[in-house]
Amino acid sequence: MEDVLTYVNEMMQNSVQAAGIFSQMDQDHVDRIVRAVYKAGFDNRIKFAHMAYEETGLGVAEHKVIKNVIATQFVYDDIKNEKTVGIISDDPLSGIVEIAQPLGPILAVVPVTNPTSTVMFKILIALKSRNPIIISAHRGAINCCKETARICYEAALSEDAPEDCIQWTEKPSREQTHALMSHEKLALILATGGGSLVNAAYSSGTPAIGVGAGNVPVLIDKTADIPFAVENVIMSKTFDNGTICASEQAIVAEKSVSEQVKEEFIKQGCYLLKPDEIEKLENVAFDKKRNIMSAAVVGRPVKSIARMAGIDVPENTKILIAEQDGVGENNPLSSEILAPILAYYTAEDFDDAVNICIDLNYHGGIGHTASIFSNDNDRIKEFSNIINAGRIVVNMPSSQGAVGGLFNTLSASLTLGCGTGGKNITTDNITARHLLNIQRITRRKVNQNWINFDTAKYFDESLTTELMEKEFYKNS
Amino acid sequence: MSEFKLEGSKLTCSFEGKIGSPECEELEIKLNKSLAAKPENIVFNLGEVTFISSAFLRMVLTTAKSVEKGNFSIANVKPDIKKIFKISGLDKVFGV
Repeated sequence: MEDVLTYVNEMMQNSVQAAGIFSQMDQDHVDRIVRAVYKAGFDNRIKFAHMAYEETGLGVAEHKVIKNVIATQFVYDDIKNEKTVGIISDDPLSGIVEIAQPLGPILAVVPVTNPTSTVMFKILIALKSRNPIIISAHRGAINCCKETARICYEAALSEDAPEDCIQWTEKPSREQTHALMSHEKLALILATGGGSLVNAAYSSGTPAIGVGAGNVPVLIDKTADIPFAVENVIMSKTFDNGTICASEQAIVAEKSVSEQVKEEFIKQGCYLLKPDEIEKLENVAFDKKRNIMSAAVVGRPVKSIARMAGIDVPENTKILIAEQDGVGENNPLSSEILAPILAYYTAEDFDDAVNICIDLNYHGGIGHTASIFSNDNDRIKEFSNIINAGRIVVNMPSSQGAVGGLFNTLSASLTLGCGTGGKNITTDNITARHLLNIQRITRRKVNQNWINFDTAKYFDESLTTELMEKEFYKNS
Repeated sequence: MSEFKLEGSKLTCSFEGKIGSPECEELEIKLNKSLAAKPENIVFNLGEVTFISSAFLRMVLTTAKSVEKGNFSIANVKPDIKKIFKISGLDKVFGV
């Protein structure tokens, strides 16, 4: 334990020294550093993707290339023109000037599902906001994360970034992670990972930005373009074998179009499971003891999952679809399962569809993402008003949509806030601006109504709100 | 222009301007020459310094280790530079 503390103390001292040096740098210098890191990351996107796939055995190597592209090209595009140093706004009218200050050292916890992409994403947003960063990789993805961090660090140093602006843990352990998380010199934890990790971050005493689990429902209503909707869902759910937390988990189709939706899924290469096959799949896809998805299926291809479950499916099947009659404990496949598996519901009508989506939403996915395919704006608004999701993606693939930048104008991000429902502090797609302490200079701009009002009247009990407003705001 | 003044066993090093990594390389050579005299007390005067790099901070730490604890100090820092020592927690160590 003493060794761990010595290691952590040294790492944190290196980090605060880097923070000190960083504090002097102007926007121009910071932007040169960020550009160099983005270029190094993008140029190595294929190498990193293959390393991640080979080390974790999860997902699809080519799709990990795209994740790396999102984490570099699209994240960079989103943040490159952001003002993150010094005076970032100056409004003579309000008399308020905003100054951006860094937070200090950031601990970036990286999941096994999106290792190299999360490393690059977090490094870019941290350096853009002049915060040194320490990468703490999942033990199943240490080597690919280390190599990614190392190449990013070399690129940063080539533009005179502070030494130790990027560090990484060599042999992570629970003790080391705990020591880092609760270290007095740490400013923030960026916790992307499972529930227990996010809880540990929040319990550490250090401010933390965490994420929540997703259980994304997809409402397909009678006004949807069905072939288009199905194509988008497949594109999303098969992306990296369903490892993105924003991927669709359940289809909820209005009865009037449900048969057409099912047929379209089959036509486009998916397999509708028979009842006995659904039970077989439940046994391998869901860990009933721990009440969560089974790690054995996460990021695995359909072929492997079908083999595990003892189910015969056509060659090149893209997604396994399991019709369900309820949401909850008795329907294990109604839970989040990060694999090419979809639950399927037929709703009586739109209201019933929204109700089922609410059930799914509240079954382990509050605050994350919801999806709707519809061409009725009123219905889209109604759905969005009711569902509890930080992102409601409309007529687009959910995985690629929720991360932002590709199919919409949300900030490109690999850390998606889920709000208080997910025990997070925000529903935003986390980006560089979340890693700043904003200071405000405020100039004297006296409220004229206040100056002209006889404040002695406040002590007169007969002063009602109406009388006060009449007097306070007169001549305004 | 940097200056290294040895008076008895006290070495005062005065630096100025921007001390990036290239500047630091040259300064280190000059500093090491002065350290060869094995001063017992060392002061880094940063009154005219406007920017320091990680390399310079490393030089500060290495130089501090070359004398007995308490015999190395930093004098006359501008606010920007003072802030660096505050953020890094080295202000108390070096009496900034």
